[in-house]
Amino acid sequence: MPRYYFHLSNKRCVTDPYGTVLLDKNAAMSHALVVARELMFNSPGMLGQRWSAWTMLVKDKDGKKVITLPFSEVPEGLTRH
Amino acid sequence: MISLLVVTQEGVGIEAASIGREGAVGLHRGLGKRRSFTRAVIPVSGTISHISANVFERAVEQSDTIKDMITHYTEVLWVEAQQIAACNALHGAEARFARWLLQTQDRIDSDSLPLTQEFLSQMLGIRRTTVTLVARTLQEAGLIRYKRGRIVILDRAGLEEAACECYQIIQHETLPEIIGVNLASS
Repeated sequence: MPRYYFHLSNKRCVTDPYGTVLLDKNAAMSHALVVARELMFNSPGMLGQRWSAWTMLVKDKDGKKVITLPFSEVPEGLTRH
Repeated sequence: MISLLVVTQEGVGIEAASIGREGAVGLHRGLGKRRSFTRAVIPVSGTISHISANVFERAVEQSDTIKDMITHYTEVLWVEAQQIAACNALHGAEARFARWLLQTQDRIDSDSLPLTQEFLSQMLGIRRTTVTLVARTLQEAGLIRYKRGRIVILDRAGLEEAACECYQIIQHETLPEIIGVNLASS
């Protein structure tokens, strides 16, 4: 099963060096949404920048961009787990 | 330090309370056999004293002092558990992570905390990926260094600012208020 890496991108980059083994790209998208919501939950932003300034980039083991998810596009109102 | 963990049916964990040298786990066993509703885990190894349940139960029967200690410490733990419940429900991942690191450092009195991200994920009830990203953020901000499974707190004051108010309340207000003991880290 493939390993996906979930990075945060803004002018600065916050990287995930370990990755997570997931079934496929759909599973990676679900995971990205869960992580994005956990990060955004009752939090105004990160490193002094509001969440709307951040994007989650999901890459595969070869460093290829698989998913680009702007935080501004993460649907709200869904529960944590 | 010992963490009391509640684990849901899905196998997701979250910390309900943490106990350091100011407290003890299983005190109520001194009052009689009990079922445990939480899992006790040890985040960072250290020295622990223990006593056999039957011996403790006999000691409690004979000592009002020990009974009083159980009462007072129960109150401290209850107040802390209330605060942690609110914290877990209402505060953000970064603030809770900062709070947890500060509490742990205070309780084990060490600068360097060997902690896996998987473990932190269970303590805080968040995905391991989220732990990675939050830890990296705190590192980018110069507050911690996280390398090879070890967290070193670099900027305590900065980390206290990043933490929610629950750190201050649990670590510095509940114990002195209720028992008159102050174990604030230097």
